Amino acid sequence: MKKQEFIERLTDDLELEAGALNHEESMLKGLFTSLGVLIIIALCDEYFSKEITAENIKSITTVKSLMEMIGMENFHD
Amino acid sequence: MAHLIYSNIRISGISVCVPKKIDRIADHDDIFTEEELSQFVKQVGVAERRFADGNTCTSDLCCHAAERLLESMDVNRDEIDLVVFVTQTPDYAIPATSCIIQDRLKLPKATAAFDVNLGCSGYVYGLSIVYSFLHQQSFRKALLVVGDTPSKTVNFYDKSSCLLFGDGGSATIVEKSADAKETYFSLHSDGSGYQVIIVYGGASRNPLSEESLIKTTYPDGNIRRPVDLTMSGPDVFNFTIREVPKSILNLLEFAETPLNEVDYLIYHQANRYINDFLAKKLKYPKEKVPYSLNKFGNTSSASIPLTMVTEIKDELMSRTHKIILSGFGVGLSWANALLDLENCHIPELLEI
Repeated sequence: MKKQEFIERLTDDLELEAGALNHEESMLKGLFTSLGVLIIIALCDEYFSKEITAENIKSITTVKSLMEMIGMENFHD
Repeated sequence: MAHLIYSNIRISGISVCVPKKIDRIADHDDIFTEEELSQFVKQVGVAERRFADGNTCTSDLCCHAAERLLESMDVNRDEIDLVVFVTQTPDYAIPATSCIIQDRLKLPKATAAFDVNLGCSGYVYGLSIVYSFLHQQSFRKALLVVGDTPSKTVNFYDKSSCLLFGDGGSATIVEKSADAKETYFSLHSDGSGYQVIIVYGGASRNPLSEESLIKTTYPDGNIRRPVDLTMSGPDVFNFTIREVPKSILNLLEFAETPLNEVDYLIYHQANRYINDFLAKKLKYPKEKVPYSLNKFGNTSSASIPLTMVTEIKDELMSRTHKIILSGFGVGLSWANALLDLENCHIPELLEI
């Protein structure tokens, strides 16, 4: 998946304002609620068949750290 | 692989009872912001639920539902050879509540009675148990009573669970029927996830003590006592999307039935986001997945019969429907049933 497409999808799914996440270093921590955690889990399952646990999610800080958790091999420019 | 098949047995009646008392999500503005509450209603799908008062137990809701069913179907109580009570909120630690229910409903002493400790998967597990007894020649009719009062186990300062659950009790009559088509079940468990939904204190592992009632504030700000329910929503979600769709497809394969022949997929009412995602994963039309969450919340083991009674009762009584029932959650435990519902008597929802 294109990195930009992932960022847009993440913004949409989390119902954030357009541009709230505009690059890989954008902070994610604190932006999602308990339901936001489910949304991240769903996104990882749907597009990458990747299981992200509650413990994993606690260590997510930026968009990039989420992408690294999913595996950078799944993204391109 | 725990796949079961039964023929010549059918569900002949389903009744549900909920408490009259309504608890509205919007009223919980003491610990949540208005925005958080409206987002919860929109995405989790619960706007209100019912709470039992201090004098009403799960068995009271179930007995009202059972009385209504036995009377309206004019059932000869001497023909009830089995009563199974599925709950995680029994009347007492000892004895089994099913024995009390046998007496309360004036069922004969020849009736077999026992409790089953299961939650969200409990209705489907319970059906599979009563079907297996009815497979015996001497068993004529079985009464399955299933429900929970989670309002008694949740701490109202624990944001991870305090808005989700509601109370409800059900009664189902299952009986022999010469022309009933096959019913299929799949039953599963994964105890490695036992801590995902748990009440740590008050039973044998951590007996009731003064410490059981001490409130602790956790790093996420939630407040609980050891006797209160603890739930990790993300882990429940991971387990559900990993296991449930696969188990439903396996059951359909076992039954040699394509998913597009199924009229309704009736899920345990976990939460709207989870259930929508499950339907999406199976590519099953959303309009054939009924919800009772909005008005009753997640009613644990009662959620499947409650959804049938409140959302699609008239449809179900109008003609034969092929349905899937799917329960999943605490245990971890999950179970599915594929059956034809025909000539099933379903009284209006009871409120006490």
